[in-house]
Amino acid sequence: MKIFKKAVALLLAAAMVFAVTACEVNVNTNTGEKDKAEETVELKQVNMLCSTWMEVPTTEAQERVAKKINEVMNPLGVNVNLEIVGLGAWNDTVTQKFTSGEQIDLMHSMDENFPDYISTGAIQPVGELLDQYGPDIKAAIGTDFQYMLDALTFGGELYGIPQLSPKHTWNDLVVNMDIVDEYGLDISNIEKLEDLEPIMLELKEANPDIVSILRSGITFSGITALCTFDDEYEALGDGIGVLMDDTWTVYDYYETPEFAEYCKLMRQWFDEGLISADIGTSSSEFTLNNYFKTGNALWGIDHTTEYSAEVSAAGWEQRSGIRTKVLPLSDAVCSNLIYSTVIPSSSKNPDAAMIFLNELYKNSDLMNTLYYGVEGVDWENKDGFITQIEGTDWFNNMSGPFSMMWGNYFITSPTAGNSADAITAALEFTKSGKGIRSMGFMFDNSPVANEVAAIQNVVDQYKNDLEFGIIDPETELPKMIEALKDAGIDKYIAEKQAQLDKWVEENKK
Amino acid sequence: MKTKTVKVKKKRKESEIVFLLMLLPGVIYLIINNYLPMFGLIIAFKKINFSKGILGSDWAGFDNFKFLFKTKDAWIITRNTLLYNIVFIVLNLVLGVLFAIVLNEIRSNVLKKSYQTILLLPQVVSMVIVAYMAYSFLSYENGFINNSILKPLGMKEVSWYKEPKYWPFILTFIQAWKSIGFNTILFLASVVGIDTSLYEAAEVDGATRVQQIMKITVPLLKPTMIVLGLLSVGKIFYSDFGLFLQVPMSSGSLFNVTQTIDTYVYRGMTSVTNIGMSSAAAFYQSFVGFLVVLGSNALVRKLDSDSALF
Repeated sequence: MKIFKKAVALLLAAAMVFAVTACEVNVNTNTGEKDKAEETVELKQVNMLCSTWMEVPTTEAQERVAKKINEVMNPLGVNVNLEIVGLGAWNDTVTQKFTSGEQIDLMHSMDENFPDYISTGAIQPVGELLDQYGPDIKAAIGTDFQYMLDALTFGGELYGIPQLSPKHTWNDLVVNMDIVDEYGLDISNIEKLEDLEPIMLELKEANPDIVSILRSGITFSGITALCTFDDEYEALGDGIGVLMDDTWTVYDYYETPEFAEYCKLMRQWFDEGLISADIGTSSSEFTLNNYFKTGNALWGIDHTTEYSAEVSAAGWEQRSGIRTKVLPLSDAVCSNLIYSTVIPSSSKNPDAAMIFLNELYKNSDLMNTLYYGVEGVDWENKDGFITQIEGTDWFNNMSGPFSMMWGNYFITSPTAGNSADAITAALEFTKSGKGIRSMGFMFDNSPVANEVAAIQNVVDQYKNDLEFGIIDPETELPKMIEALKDAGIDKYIAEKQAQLDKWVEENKK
Repeated sequence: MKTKTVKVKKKRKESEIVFLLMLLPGVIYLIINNYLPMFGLIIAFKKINFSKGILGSDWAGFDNFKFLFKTKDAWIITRNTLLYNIVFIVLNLVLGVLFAIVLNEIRSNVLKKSYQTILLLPQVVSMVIVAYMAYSFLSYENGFINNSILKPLGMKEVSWYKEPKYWPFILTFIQAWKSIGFNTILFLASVVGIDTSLYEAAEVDGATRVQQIMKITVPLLKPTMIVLGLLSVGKIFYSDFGLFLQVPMSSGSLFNVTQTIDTYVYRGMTSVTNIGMSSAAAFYQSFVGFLVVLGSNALVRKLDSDSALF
């Protein structure tokens, strides 16, 4: 009996130990089977890593979409595997996958990460692949968007394929017309920032409970305002070292007289009670939309990619439920590419990845599937419009459940609520806009990473408070400038200037 | 006689093997989960290149550590991290023991259990939610303190998120409020385990309730206090990230009293994608934490060798 007990104990202990290894064995046999299955039909696996700013779709939904995509891609010898990650976890996931060397064949890259990916050897050049497998990508890009390809070329090598979508932004003032009409405000003469003040003061006089623009918070910052009222200004990525005039000189934005002026004006508005004292806290309730919903905000500065003021206003009305009017404040320019598609170094089938990508620039059905889900299950086609199926909440506010950062937006179908020519109008609008002067310059901050980390902390500490007039620029701005010097802003500016000069040398002559 | 002891020893060994085998899963877990990743520490000394892999990347020496000590912020973040943590450790110990003793004095089992649950509730609330709870108290325009306390009393409203001087107290209060339940339970377990005959004997000798607590409960709690203290001392260079990032709502005016090593690294890394630098920060924190544990353990061993961890 005793022996029996001992034996059981031993067995149990052994079972616990081997349970761990057993799992591993199981996993191995699984992948083994998978490999075999692939071999028999000779499909090349393309692992596609996407991010979404919406809720991450359920595994079931992801599989449904992948299956639909593979109905098109399997005959071409490609099997696509989707993995969708929420935007919040995006950078961590990508770093983790790069470090582990896991196979990813396609992913998109955001502007700010792109130089990092190149300098750390995480992505590979795609120029030859594009020539060989991407005729439709080239056709879609044509001469109109050639500048986007140029912008993704580094040291003579192309590293990314631009996503084609409306990328031109223009700044505008979104006005709550309910309030304007109720108090008979005159908004016909708004040309510069200072013009806003008398109107806000008039409103404050009439009804102190209604807040003016500035409580709208995150959409209103000095950089937006400067861009709005001065075309020459270019943020060069992070908005710390910037272009302020028609030369290629990089300035420390926070040392410019323009920034000082701006802070002074905001301080004056703060003192006049036009800005909430709570605004310094990074609270989401300060988004313009939330304020509009309460019906208690007058206006906010926004930038939009919509092709007309009416469409933009319609969007605001749909989101906030108030009557709005959008006043354009600048021309449309393409200031950055935001999304491009890259092939990581860990890819095992870069050719298959490019074949798949090529489809995304010509196959409308495939793009609709990737953006909005499976037809008949996730949406239905009503007279050529992508329409939400009644009783489902698959997509709200016209945003797809899936990654919308891919391929050619201009071959997708319009969503319900838009005009039939919405997509063509957007294409025309995008073609007519120009890139900014520094289009294609991407600052690689890795040589000054130590400085950037320190500078970012200083910016976080002062920028918000100064731009909303919460602290007095008379005393605090000099402190910020000194802290920036201490953090090494001079070295940073010098590095940026050197990179910019080199870029100008290579691209502008 | 001799053969007998050998037999006993052999028997003991046999039964020990079973116990050792039972230990094995835990040890394997520790090795996989806690020891293998330690090799990742070399990332802190590498200039990472993903196409070359971690081992193949070039060495960077101490370059990745530079940003931590670059500006005069280095002093502020180190000071904040250390001072807050010292206060938190002491306060958690004192309040934990106090509440455990008080809870133990309660006769009614129902009351005891409900107090315990109420104390524990804040522990399970997410820091993001705590931040908004704090915000509903401290907001300038709509906050409870300004609107319902200061205004009716005819006092001037305070712009809480602009005044650094209040924040060491606010943060300490929130931290204590949040962690008190858990600490109380840890100490309560030890208090309950104390032999009741000791109290009975003391009562016979005419000791008052307070005397019993001071002479019996507290001395018997000392080993638990030391172990828990040492454990938290090991984390003295880590700050409660949620507390310091979320609760002050990233208000720049408060940075001098709310910025800690973790939030500094987090903010710096938002614009730099460099896993070498973030590894360097983690390495620095754990290395200093390790030294502090060694030091405080040596101190404890000197004062009371039975209570030392090792």
